[in-house]
Amino acid sequence: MMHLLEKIDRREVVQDEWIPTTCSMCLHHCGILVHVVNGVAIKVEGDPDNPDNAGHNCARAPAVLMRQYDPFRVKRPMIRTNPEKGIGVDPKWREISWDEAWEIIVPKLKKILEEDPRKLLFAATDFRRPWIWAWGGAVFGTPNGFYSDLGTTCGGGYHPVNGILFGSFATQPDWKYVKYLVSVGGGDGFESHLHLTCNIRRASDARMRGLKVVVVDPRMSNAAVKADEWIPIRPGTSLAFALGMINSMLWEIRGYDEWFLKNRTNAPYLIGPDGYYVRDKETKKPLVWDPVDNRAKPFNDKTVKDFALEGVYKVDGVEARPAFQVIKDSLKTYTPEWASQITTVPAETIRRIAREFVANAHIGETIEINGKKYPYRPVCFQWYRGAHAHEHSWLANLAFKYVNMLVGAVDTPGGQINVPLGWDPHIDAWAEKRYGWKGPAYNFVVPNEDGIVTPWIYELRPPVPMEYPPKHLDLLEYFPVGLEAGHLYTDAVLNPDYFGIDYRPEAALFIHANPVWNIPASLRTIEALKKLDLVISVDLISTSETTMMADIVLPDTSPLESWALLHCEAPFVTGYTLRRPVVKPPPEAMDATDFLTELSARLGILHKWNGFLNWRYIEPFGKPQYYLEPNKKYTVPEFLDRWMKAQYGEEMGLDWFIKNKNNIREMSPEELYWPYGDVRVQLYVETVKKFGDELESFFKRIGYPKPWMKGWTRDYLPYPAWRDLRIHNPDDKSYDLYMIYYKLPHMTFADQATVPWTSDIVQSKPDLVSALINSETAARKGLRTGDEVVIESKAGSVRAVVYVTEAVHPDVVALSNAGRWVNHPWAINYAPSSSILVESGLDLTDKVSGCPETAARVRIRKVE
Amino acid sequence: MLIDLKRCVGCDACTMACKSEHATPPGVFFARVYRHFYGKYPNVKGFFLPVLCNQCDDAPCLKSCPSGAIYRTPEGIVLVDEEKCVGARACEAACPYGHMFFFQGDGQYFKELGYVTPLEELHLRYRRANTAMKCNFCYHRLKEGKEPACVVVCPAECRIFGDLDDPESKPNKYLREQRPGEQPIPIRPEAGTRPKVLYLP
Repeated sequence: MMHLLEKIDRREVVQDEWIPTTCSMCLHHCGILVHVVNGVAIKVEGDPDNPDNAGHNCARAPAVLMRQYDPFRVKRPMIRTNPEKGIGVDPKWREISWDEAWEIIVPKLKKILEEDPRKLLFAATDFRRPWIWAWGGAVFGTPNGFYSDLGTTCGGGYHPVNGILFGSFATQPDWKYVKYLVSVGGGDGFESHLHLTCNIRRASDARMRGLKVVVVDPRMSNAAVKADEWIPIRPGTSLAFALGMINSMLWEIRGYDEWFLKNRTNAPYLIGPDGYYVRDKETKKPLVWDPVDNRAKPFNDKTVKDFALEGVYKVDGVEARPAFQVIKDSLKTYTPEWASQITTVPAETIRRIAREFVANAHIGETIEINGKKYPYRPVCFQWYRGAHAHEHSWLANLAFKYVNMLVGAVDTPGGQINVPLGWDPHIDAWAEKRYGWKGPAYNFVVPNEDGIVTPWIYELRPPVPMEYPPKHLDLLEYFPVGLEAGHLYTDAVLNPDYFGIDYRPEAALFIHANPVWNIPASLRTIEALKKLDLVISVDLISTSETTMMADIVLPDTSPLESWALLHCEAPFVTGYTLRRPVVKPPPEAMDATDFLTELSARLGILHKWNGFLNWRYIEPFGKPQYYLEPNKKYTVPEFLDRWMKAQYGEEMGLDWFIKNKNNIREMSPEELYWPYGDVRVQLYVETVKKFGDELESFFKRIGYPKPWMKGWTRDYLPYPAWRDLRIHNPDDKSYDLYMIYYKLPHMTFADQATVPWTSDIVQSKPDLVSALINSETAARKGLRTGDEVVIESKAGSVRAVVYVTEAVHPDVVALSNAGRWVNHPWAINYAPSSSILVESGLDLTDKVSGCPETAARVRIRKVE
Repeated sequence: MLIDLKRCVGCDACTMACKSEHATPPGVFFARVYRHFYGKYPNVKGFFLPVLCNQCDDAPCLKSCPSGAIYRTPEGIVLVDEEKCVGARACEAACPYGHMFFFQGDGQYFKELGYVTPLEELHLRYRRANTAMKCNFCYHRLKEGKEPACVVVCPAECRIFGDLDDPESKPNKYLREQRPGEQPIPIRPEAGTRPKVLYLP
């Protein structure tokens, strides 16, 4: 077989070029080259000139080609002619003109805008175009701007904990130096999460160098296959595992980095009986205990000779303990034996991992890099969605963070590196002003008056005052430190009175969003959407679970047809990369940004849209010549050009990026390792306790008008604690198994699970599209590989094929993210969609972070 | 080609790169990754094995071909000449590794909808039906001085491509520098085909 390019008649070839652009098949934006022949994109390869992915790409990047040419690509506006909505119901689309589409959309949205903007639900958390996220809130004015967030796949409580403690958004092991990695419920460096292509390379290099990997996961993940040790665990109990480790580190091994705790955290700050810092009467600064002078002093007192971490002291007649002592006392009962009961992991294993972690941390040692000395802590406890996305997400994330902080393995060679979201020009402008740093790669770290990193809570949304009745369907009024609990919209639409919502949502605008697929309880989300008068979906492919429930579908441009400058959660590198059109879009497709510009103009709020873009992207740099004029329609490249010129200077506009592709470079050690200066982070998270107390007084003041307000603030603790989850104690014991779902390295967004190449590869491995069941459990239930079963939870049921394996915990049914239920020939419809099984609701939501429970209790029966 | 299995994480980037490079028909994977688990819970181990045509020195497919359509290039790459192939399918049976495929015609992914993507259309226009097809180490790329698609794509950088007989080639340098003293091995050496794809366990 010869290749097309060897056989093609060269006289027919009018175009044969590799065009540089940026991949958008996951959140993280590798540089790619697209081979375009006669206007057809035929190949995607990593761009060697991008230092992040270094010429490589993952299995998702080429999938863009078949998605580009999908027969279900939305090419013109379409209107639903079948009023019935539901799974398997054909919407019977009829193509209409854009004029007709505007005539339907604009009057309805105008009415809502004038009457009550809250009645619009908006979801556009599209990582290909971060600037459109806030249109619903900042421009249209609805508080309900994030219906697709914090679903079953997201960071949930992980982002708030990073933000509150470190001003960051995400984390990554320092692959260059890490020697010992405990990876819990995630796939960093192996199969999922941050910059997969780039971190696979870094992690493989690290393993060749001798990195030891321990994977804690109910399923033998790809990471576990490559690990030195796989520790299977019961779902939703990684918190107990971490608490067992911490207990052993604090009480048995006494393995922690005293210097780090004393000088880089608030561990020595004295805590009074009320749980707050004990403050100096004069300076109002938090006090510490100086054991040399044997008295309390303000933390920043130059005469402090040492900081006590332990002990009980009397200060101004009040009994005070250093935060470290408070934490240590509170965690005393979480012994490895206790953790073993909950996790099913042997106590000796937990103890051994704690010992190995401490031993490999090289506490007290330093490493010299480029002539500068840094603490050398080559251990990392790394986790993600599977470990923390449960009802106790805040407490779990905090405990996981503790494991690293106790040994000082944060933002130092070999430890866990904090990673910024990366596209916030406010941070860039601030970093430039403060440190003279150019570029987007700096965490939002400002020391407050207590010498602590100011918690960066409002990374994705502005602060919301506590008030009743709530305006936000996700009750953001009562999540003072959470992200957006977007999955709650469904429940609020279905049960507004229960939530205390005093208005009725009427319309939804989705942009490349699929809440039906990616938030818990799909069937309820469908019911919620049915209650709306108008559901608008801007999408690429019409066969999406959510778009199939829409009343009107609008054609978007694809990643190969559109412009963007992107930079998202990049560890180790900094800079922007340019996405640009490499092929022509269908004539009637409209980039969602242009759609929002046009819609804003038609609604009379263009000045607000341009005002928002100015505020977020251009104004921070204080160069008025680049501000968008209030009432002018700008194209995406025009906006990008102004943004980049404002950020980098006149010579670095869009043309510069067209010529140079990206300005990404490796970060220097000074930028990566504790770039914050002389500042402390919270080990004892007073911030969260304070918010919890404020919230409790607020509920008390208004007289707890809703029953769920009682007990709401229980988990607003300054340190971790164990909580039994609802999935651990089901009311109905016949739901005897846990359903967990895992992410494949082949797909990120739902629409990738209809890309024929992707589906073909995934289907060639039967375990990836089946329900994984441990051989012992299968034997007990009389199940064999290939058996058809029904998996039922209280939220719904799915059909599945059984795959019996040793590579999964006996309490578990594990499903991959390949399952769809759309009418597309390459949707793997027989693979079960886990979101149908996950129950939703307030009682299954972490009241601190807003994270939903993402595992479910299920039972399984054979289809005879 | 040298494949360092220690680096491989089973991500299927190679499978996808190959699929898109050659626009192979549904179910055909010149490059693919096998996964296998063994042991008894909780003491389970697993491995990934990325495979592709071994370009055997003593290639059974070549010997089995009744029409002389399979030949070896001077560089040692085993190719199928579509013009000479008569579709006898002897090569499929002969290959001990399952790396010979048969192209029946069509080959587009949305056949049941009667739709051919423009990308597939370009490829399929030039492809002869009822012929054997196989991995050709991306011969068209090698001619342009590029490495095979599955090599450049690999995020784990587990594939090292070059002339195994040349001591200064990339694979031999890699062996010396990264895995000194270790001997790369082929899959199923007992088949006696002298594969040119070697693995470091």
